[in-house]
Amino acid sequence: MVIGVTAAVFESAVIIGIFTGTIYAMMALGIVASFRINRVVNLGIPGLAVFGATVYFEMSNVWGAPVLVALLGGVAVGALFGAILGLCNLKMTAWPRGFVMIFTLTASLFLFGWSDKILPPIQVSPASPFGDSGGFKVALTYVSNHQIGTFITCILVTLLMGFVVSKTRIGIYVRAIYDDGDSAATLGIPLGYFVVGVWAVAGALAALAGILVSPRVTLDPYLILFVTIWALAGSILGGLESFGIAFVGSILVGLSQGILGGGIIHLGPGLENLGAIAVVAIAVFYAGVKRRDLAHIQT
Amino acid sequence: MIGTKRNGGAAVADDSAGAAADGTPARPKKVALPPTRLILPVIVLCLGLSGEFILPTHLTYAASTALCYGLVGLGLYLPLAALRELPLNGAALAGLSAYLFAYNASGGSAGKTVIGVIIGVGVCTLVSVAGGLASLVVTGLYFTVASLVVQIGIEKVVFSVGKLTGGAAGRGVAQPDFTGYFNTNRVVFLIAGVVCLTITTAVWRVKKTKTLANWVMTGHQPEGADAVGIRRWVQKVVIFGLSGLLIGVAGVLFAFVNGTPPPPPQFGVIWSVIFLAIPIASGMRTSSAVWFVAAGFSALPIILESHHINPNLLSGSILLVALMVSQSQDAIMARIRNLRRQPETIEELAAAEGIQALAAIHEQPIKATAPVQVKEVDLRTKVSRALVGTDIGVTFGGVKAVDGVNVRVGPGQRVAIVGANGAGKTTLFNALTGFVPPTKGTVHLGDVDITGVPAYARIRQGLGRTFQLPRLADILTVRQNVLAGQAQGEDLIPRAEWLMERFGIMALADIPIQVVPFGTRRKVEMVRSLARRPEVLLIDEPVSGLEDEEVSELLEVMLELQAAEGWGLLAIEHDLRFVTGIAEQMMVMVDGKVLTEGSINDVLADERVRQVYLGEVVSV
Repeated sequence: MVIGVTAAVFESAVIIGIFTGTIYAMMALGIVASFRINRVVNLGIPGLAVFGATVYFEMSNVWGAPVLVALLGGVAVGALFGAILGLCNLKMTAWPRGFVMIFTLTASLFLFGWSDKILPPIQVSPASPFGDSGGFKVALTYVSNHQIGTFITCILVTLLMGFVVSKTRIGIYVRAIYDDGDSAATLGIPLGYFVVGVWAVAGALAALAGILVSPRVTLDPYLILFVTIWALAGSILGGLESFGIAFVGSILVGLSQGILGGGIIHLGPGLENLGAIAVVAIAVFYAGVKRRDLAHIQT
Repeated sequence: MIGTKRNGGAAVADDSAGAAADGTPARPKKVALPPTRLILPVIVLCLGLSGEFILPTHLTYAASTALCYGLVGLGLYLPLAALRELPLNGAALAGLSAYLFAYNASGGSAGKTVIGVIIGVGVCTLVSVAGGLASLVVTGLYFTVASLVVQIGIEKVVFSVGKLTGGAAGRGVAQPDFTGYFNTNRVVFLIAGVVCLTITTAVWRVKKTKTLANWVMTGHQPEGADAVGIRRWVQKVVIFGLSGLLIGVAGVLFAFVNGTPPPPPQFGVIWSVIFLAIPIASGMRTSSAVWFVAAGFSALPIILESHHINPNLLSGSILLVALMVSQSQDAIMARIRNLRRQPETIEELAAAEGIQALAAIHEQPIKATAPVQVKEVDLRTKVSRALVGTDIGVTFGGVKAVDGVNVRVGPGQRVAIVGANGAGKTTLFNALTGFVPPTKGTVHLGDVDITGVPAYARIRQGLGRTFQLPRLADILTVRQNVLAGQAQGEDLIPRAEWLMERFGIMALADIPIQVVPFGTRRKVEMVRSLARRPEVLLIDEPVSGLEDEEVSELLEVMLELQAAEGWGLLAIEHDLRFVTGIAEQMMVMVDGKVLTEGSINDVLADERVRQVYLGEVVSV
């Protein structure tokens, strides 16, 4: 183990950590959105992210569509598949939620498979919607426009989602359905529309995350699957309910990876994830003990 | 009446059936396993034998891999079926075992191989046991995520570190060297098959014992498990330990079958989900179904190999099929049932279709088997201690659910607690029995302070309790529910059977709880508490859901038993007829406090009690 701390190294590690965490946070928003409506952990997020990014890549790099159009195309496809997953959820109300969670992973596998068929056999990275060049140096680290753009987008989306859930009528309906779907239905809230709608939003967020993440980690399904798992870890800190805490939790996971793998403490290959795993473990136990009422949702 | 024989009188039972010609009650005929129940084990066995003798050599390797899959599936089946937990770390645990085995056994002697097996399986078991302990703190969704963390931890950290296991990928593992028809592949398959058959038999044997009921009660009704004195943490450690052991052996087999541990992607998170899909698709009913599904999972990629299907699409399809099958099994079984003779009794149906399919027949009238002759039980007074709660207080947030209540139930005493809904009666029960920690006050059983003692230990010390809604495991039979957690004493089974007969549920002893009516469930829970011969029995609304006739019968039985055995009784009940019939003393609670208490006549003469029953506001 090597420890070497200078101000510049520390700043760099923190910056790397924050931007890594931002990537996780983008994914975490989709997970929280779908969980907030019917308490299902949406493991379809990585599939939606990959497929959304694939559509974006095809439209921008292959068909030559403008970046904004490609971005909208990718997000729309994500929303469409998210809505389909939401529809499937409605058909699975009698299923144990753990099984529905596995079903969503099945959807991811299908979307991975279709993306494999669409994409060229080599690893590709789509162009960043914020441009592939430009940026500035902070401490020892070069911060690109893409990273800044992703960070700002993530904060804006977090604030927007938080506002919608806590301040609007739609948010009240979503919370009512989350607390007790049957009771919400008796109040005349259209359960089906809301479940499908919120899952569509989750799909759109996942696709947006995929589009913003893939320029950094390449369009590799398994890399994005792992990004999602770290994102799940970040979001579980807030019991999968809070967009804000999911954002902060994801940044914490990224920071731990940045610090252990990015310059301050070198533990050796393979061990840079220890900190992130520790953060995740603490988050799971904290949330698990605090939110025992969610414990019954499995088999 | 005490100690006399009395035929089963369950409201749903057909007592006229099956009595012997001379009028003496006969034991019901043992229901033999219908031949259909043997179809799957026979198919699995045939598949195994064909793998050894008929399959081409290159397919025996695939069959050996199927055995490894099946063993991991069987390992995951235990926590999944018994505890309803979804562990998403099966692949990582198998990989851990495979790498540790190869790392320690590679190129070495038989001794090194044994050490490799012990280390591989041992570490895997320990990690799994740690998961079991974690499941005491985090359950359900959080347990699944915690297990995912373990998967990622092993996958991302352990597999990457050469000194741990990363260097083991690619190391050779010794295989028997044979040529000819019985070549290495066939011998490897034979060894793997014998290991799997041995383990399956052991699991099957364990499932036949009372342990199964304790496991299921732990996972399906944690409060019910506490109420019969089951140490849940012990059960969880045992289940996860066994699960880890099975997965560990599977990991060793992976390395042995392959001749080297498969590369890390073979033990990735997707594989964990696929392994978990094996018990899910099997419907979590029988171990042979797990093997059957594992065989299917292994065969599918081989069958579809020529179509060059994308591995993700293939894995997704397999998972989807597994989920669909698991959720449609009842419908499939119902269709099969319609194709053959309808079982006439519920026992036949239970034996024929398994317990899950019985959910579909709730609407059918239950026709039980013949009255049963049970052994006489010698009831005698045993020294009981008094249960004394002093200044008990329970606060939830800012709400005082119970506020400074004193309660005493001496040996042979019968005390009733009445009060409106929300008065704090059940919370007081929970505080006395350890299901809710009191925020103030003490609880004593005789001279022993049991205030900080966990619920299961209080039950073991001599308390017994029932719940407002019976806490019984649906997938267990009446008998299994009654015997779960009970200490194996000489007189336990005769006493339990005698009580079942006395409460009129003996004829339903081997029926799954999920198909018996609510009132019968109440009786089952009562019998379960009494079978342990408590010193103080606490019953929560024992007659709600019972017919008038049943209430009278219950009253009669309870009074006889209590008079003969001398235990104390504390009952919560709204039914005044039952209260006046059973209690000598009475407590009335309002807003968490005692409004009045004393002899039943005095309390009932109190005007404030009448007001409580009429729903009028009464201040304490």
